[in-house]
Amino acid sequence: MIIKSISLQDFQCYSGVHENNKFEFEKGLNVIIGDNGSGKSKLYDAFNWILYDRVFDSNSRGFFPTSTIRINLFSDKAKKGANVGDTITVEVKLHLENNLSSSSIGNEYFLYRTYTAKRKELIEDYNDLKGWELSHISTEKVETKDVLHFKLDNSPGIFDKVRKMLVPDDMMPYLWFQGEQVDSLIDFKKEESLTKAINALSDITVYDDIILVAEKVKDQANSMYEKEQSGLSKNKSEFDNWKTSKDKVEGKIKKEREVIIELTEQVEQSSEKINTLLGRIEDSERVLTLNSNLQAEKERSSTVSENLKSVTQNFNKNIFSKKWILRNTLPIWDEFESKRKNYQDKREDIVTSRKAERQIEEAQKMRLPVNIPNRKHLEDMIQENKCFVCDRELDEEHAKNHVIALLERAKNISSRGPLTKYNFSDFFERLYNIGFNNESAAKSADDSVNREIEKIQKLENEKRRLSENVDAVVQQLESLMQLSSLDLFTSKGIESAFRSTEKTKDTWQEQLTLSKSRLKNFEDELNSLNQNPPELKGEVQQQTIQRKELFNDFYLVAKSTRESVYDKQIRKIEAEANKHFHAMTSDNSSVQGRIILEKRGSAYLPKNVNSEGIEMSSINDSNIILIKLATIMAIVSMRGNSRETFPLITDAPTSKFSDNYTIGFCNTLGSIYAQSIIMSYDFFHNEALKKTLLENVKNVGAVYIIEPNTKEDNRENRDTLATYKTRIK
Amino acid sequence: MDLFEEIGKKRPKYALKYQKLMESFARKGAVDQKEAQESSYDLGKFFNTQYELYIYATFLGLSIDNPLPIENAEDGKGFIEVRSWKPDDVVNYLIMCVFAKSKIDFNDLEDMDEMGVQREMRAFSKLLEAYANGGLDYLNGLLNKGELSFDDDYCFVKLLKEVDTKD
Repeated sequence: MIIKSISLQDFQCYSGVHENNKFEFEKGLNVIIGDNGSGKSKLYDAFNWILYDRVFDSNSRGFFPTSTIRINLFSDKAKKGANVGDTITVEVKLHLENNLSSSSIGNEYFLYRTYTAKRKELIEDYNDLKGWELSHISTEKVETKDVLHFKLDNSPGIFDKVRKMLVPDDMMPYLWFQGEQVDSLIDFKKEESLTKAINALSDITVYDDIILVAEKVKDQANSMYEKEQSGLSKNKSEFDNWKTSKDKVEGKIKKEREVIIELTEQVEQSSEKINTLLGRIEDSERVLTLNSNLQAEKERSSTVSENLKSVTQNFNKNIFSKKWILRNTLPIWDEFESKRKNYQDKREDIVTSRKAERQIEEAQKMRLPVNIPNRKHLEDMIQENKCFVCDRELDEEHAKNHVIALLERAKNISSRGPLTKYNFSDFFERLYNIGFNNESAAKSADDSVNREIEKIQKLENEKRRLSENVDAVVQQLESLMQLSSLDLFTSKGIESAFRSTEKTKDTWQEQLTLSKSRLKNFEDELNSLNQNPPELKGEVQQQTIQRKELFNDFYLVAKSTRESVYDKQIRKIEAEANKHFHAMTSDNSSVQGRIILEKRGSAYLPKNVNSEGIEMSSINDSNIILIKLATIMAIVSMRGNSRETFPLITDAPTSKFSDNYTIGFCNTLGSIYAQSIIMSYDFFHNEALKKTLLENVKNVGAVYIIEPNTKEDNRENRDTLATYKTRIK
Repeated sequence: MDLFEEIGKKRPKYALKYQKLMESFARKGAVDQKEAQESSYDLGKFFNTQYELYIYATFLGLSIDNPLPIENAEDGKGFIEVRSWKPDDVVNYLIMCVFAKSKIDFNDLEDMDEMGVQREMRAFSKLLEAYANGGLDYLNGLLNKGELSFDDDYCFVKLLKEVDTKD
């Protein structure tokens, strides 16, 4: 049977009529893609509701019937829009086709489930039950195709009949499930979980019935034997006491054996946990080491970044602090030097001529002091052209010049002061020294700039290198954490968990040893009682003895046969599951070896082993889910005709997977189920994955994308909420 | 007379049309050294103070030998006195360069009376302004052509290399 379509009317977030909320499906893989909260799980609920009158609640992780869900089944839009007296209806309609039927009559069905509510009072909170008159139960309806048309089918039990054709009750958990149910669906630690699976494949309960019968006849045979013994005993009360003691000891033995089973399981679980932790200690140490390396690299990177920022910020300051600004000034400095030299030379000339004058004066001073004769007399002498000393005329040029020189000497001496009005030689000297001192800075400005730029480039390269290191370590760390399913917090706790679990195991082991010792004592006691029965007047009949022995053996054989059959089924499931597991993980080269289900007490625990049966690695959470899914698929594929008849419907089965597993899972589905409908978030944001789904996955039927139609800022007010779908394949 | 003191009192101006340029690339008065350094950097201001930019522009003007006098006094905007400019040795070096380029005869200067020296110092100050103005004009031209931007941290250093001393 395959599902041709489902349509919804005002079912939770699917407000509106059937035509607006219709999904058509085909054989092969059908995918509903949507973001979190877009309506995928509600669609899954719609399938559940129409067939089983219940919806799944994630908070309590359980199913609830219509009678509990009630008004919450209806869309907010419908509830909001209902006036007093209006009746609103929620309905889901399923179109089914029996693809194995060769007849055109009775090979197609419409299933309906309907539930109504009448508005009796307008209350602001439209979810308040006081405002509604609700039907007590939902109603079912079937229409069966009669040649060309669909007619209402009122045959007794027709709804359940069609439902079971679609999904047999015992196969239902393995055909319709949510991703979060997988864990509990196949719990390797619980025998009842695997027993249920095996019962779905072959009826192992017949062996359980045989064991019950064998136990009964064994007990009867034992009872007959004891009765005969009692009848033959010389002392009845002594026999009764002996029998009572024996019964007591046997009771203790039974109890102690149960305790031993429990303690053995505890010890095995602790060992398992220790092995798991041991396997994880190495990983956790690596995680912690990598994290430590990461912090160190981040710190180094931060230091270099700070350094680089500081150097870059200070770069322009160097224009002044390292005098790069003087770069182009050397020719100007030369000009100044030249001007200053000229200035100095001129000053030197003045100094020299002053010196010469002084020398002349000095020379003259030897003969006559200054102002002797005085100036007036000298001027008079020149005027009168006569020397007053020797009273001769200054007729000789030499004599006249001498008098003039004497006059000049006086003038010069009287007017001689500083060389110039201002003496700026210190000023120019200072400027010269500044130029001189900074000449080398001006010459080496280019080198200085280049060195600084080189320093910046080195820091930038270092920063880039460290940043790449950080990214590499982050990637290593994330990869390791994903593979090992460890985070920092867990890693830190692993060692203490390991120590604590070791201690716990030792405690259980101690108790187990004590318990075994007690059991031994009880068994010895029982042996002793058996070996020292009360005296009998005669012998128990041979046939009684034989019957006792026979039925005791029969009981043992029944038990071991059941165990053997059970174990064979487990091996078959294991082999089939491995096929599916390898198919799903074919694109992931890190997954190697095969999975075995190892018996541990009443549990079967998965291990990853190589071809020689040696354990390769501990199994992480992601792989556990894959193994469980593979086991579910094995149960379905081993069922025989499942491929031809039963569709798979699952909500978010791949939520814990990496992308490679998701595609492997999708490809494998096609080889197991004639039709599968999966709701998935994985493809929503991952365009590459979606492309692979549409182009590379085999047997893809219909693919839809669903989105809520209200704006993000109006999501709190859900009374206009509807779900918008687009078929992309 | 102390010429350093005389020059130190001067408050050279820049042409008003370069005010936006001055304000874009320099802070007006550094408050806190660290803050100035960081926020200058972040705001795309390459110089902590306006006088730093002014000194830079003057050296630029000297390098390209492009003195542009401010024609009208009203067109100029002054800021703090030369004696407040830092660092001292760069400022003194600048003074040395302007003296080199000036027409002042060092020897004649010494023979002038006080008024004459004051006059020469005014001329010196004008020449300094002219070189600064020339440098600012050059920067403005680059800015208008899009060859100077906030995005290039190294633009002012690169400019020093790109500009050759012109005769």
